[in-house]
Amino acid sequence: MSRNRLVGLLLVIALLASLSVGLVGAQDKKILVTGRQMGSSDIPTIDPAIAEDVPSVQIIDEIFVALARPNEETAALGSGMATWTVSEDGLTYTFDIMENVPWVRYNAEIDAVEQLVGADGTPLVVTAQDFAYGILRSLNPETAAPYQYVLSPWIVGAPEYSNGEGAAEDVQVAVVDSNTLTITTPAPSAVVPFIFTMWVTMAQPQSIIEEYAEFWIDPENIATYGPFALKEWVRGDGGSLTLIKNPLWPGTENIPVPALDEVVFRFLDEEVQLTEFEAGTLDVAEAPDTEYARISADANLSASYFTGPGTCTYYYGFNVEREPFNDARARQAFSMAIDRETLTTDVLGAGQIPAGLFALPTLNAAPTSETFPDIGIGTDLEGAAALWGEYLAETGKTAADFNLTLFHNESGLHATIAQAVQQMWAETLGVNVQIATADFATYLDTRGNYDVYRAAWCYDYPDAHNFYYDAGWHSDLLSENDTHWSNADYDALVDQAFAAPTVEERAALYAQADDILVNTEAAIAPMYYYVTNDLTAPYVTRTHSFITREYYEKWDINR
Amino acid sequence: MVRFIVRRFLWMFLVLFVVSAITFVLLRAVPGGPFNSERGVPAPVQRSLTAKFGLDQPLINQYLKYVGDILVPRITDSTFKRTLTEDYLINIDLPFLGEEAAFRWMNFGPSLRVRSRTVNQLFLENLPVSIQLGSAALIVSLAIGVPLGIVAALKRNTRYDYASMGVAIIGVSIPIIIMAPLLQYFFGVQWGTLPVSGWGTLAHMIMPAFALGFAQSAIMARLTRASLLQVLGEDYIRTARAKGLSEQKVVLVHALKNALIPVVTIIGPLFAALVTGTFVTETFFSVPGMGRYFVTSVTNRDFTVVMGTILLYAVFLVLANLFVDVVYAWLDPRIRLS
Repeated sequence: MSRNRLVGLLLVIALLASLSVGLVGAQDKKILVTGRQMGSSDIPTIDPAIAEDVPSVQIIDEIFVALARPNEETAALGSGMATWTVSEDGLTYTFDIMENVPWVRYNAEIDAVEQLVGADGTPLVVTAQDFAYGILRSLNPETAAPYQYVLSPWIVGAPEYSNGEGAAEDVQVAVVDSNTLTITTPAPSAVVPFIFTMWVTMAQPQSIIEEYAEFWIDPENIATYGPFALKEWVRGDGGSLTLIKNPLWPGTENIPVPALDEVVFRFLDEEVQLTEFEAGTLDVAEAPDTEYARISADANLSASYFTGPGTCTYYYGFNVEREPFNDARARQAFSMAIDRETLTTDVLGAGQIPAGLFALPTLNAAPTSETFPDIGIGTDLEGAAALWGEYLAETGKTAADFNLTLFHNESGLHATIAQAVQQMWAETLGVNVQIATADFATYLDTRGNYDVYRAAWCYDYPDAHNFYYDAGWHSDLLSENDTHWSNADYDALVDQAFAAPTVEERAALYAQADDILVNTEAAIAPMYYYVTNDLTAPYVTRTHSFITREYYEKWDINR
Repeated sequence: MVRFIVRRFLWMFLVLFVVSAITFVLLRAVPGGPFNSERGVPAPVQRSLTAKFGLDQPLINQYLKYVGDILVPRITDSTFKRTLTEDYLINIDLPFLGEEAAFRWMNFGPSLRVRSRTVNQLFLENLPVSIQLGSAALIVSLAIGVPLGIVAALKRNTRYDYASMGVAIIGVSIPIIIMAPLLQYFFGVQWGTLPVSGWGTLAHMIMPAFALGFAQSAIMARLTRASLLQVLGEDYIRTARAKGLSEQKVVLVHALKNALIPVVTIIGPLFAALVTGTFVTETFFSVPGMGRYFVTSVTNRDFTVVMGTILLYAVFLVLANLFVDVVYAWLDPRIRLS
């Protein structure tokens, strides 16, 4: 054997040996691989000030922790980074922030998460100042945060500052000492603590952000403090993001130290996730609605399948400025003529729930059909035909006089649903409705110009206020409401519910408001509540969240 | 030759200029903007977003700024800080001009939708992936297509010919949307020999490169066959045979070189199309390349990404065609570049 060959052989042996060592090492670690469908090819950001979509918030919620944190299985509010007390007038919240929670970063050279040190060599920990900086940065008009308007109404001085008219000093967020923060809200409400579960209120590392500008969220720059840290981020469709356990996270009752060593999010379309799951290369996958029949027919897949409450309500909005929908009876008739049962079982068939009210029943303070059986809208074909007949007789028109257009964006099952509803309206009301479609951006820009448009509202925080106020039906937000509908009684009820002290009182007021929105005024026709469908390998122990993000620190793998 | 290449480069700049102007105008003419969302964006937020990205300026200023950011180089000192709006593709340190001095050129701007990313980063991180996949697919298509075409031409109207052309027909008839799931099902799920999707190792590259290359190989095979048949009937081939050259030498050296000219012609645009990203293949196999950005950036109205990807495609197309012209001259010395 020549010398070169010998050297080559030794190299190959060395390579194989190092590979096998690597494999053994990998098997000891608990690494969970999960799929994530990305709307726009990548996780748009993991900057808490700028995020506005579910995949971004999922990552942010695991590497930063808000002051408060909802329980993912009950939506009940618990402490996050702080416990809090409220002043007697209900306006000032004092947050007592956990001490000695280190700012950390993953160091690729030593393959470990380490605590960061300041310029003067002192180890960095999360302080009230970091939270105050985070809140102000989210509100700063120069940050151009899409969610500033969800946060600003809740803090005195914030709306003016975020509009560019006020000063940062006038925003009522005060650092009392390194672990105490007070925030003053303009009106007392039970909703306030939910606002402090949101990502825009999280602590942000000022020195890091000032040093690296928008690139501070890159893995080699970022500073985080939550139960997981950012290990790797391969950008683009088909890329991945890897979280690594933060061993320096102290662990609390609500947010324990993770059992998993790493969580890998692979950005895959749902169809690809299903194939990967069948190949055994994904531990958890999102299940495509369209594959429900195949999954339920397959013994292995159906055993791994889970359906739980979703986060959105699907609805049709009626343009109240156009005939016939300028008359509430016409709107009611069209809403009642939608056979929601047929729609959810025969057209969709993945466990979706027919909706008679706008708000999701799982939200805090939301009315439900069980507690308030007499409110809301239901399918009533005969009633719809009678109402429509009454309207036609009074106006002297016939169904053929109307040339109506239903508008939706080109995606998913919207077309199938629109065709089904088109047929229902033709059969029950004798109206032939045209269907128009557009890509998402055009649709958003122009849907207010059509007679009926499809839409869905998905909540930002799990309280009914987000549905009744932020969704745009309150006249404060009329400019963003594409039905152009507003109603003084509705506004009054939502305002009262906002200020009401108990969940029961609030739900009762919201029930009346919902009845106006979907029944007596019928500005919109709620159709169904979304469900979340996923597949989990049998060796994974997990919780099933219905608040849009999973808390992986409570998960485990036992192969 | 040099003059030819220089002139083509000058033409390229003109082409890019026209392409960028047309794209820019078309983008702003369609309804919808990059900051629309289902929940409706209140006026103050809309204002701060458009101000941050300069979209509140008059259109002509926006266009001039865009072109200027790309074309005009800058010399920066230590006060320069890399931000979303100031991220340059080409950064060369100039130590003789002072500490931290640098020459910076070509700023394609930030993505308006992915709020933490610049178009440069997208080029640097996702384009190499598409180039790898596209090159591999091109090699696959040549490796399958050209030999098939040669066999078919040499054994014209025999079962070898029919078999070769049969394979070619299958390749062109099975679209990738059928081929990809079939490959994934058998190699990924049933036999578990190859990863279903993703990127990173050679194993990840096999299925997408094959799916993409096989479809193109059919075109290569048919072109090679037709062209070779024609060349084989030429007088100079008869002369070569009459001289007593071996059949192998006649075909591979004398006939094939000329027969490949039509194949080379399509390789140019094909290469540009493959390496700048292929939407369907990249989507099916979840390859983090450029392909998806071409489509999603348009539907998202991500103006800067659309501009960047279109310009990139134009550059590749022009360069690939230039390369083809140069190869022509080598394959057939009668073709003169002037």
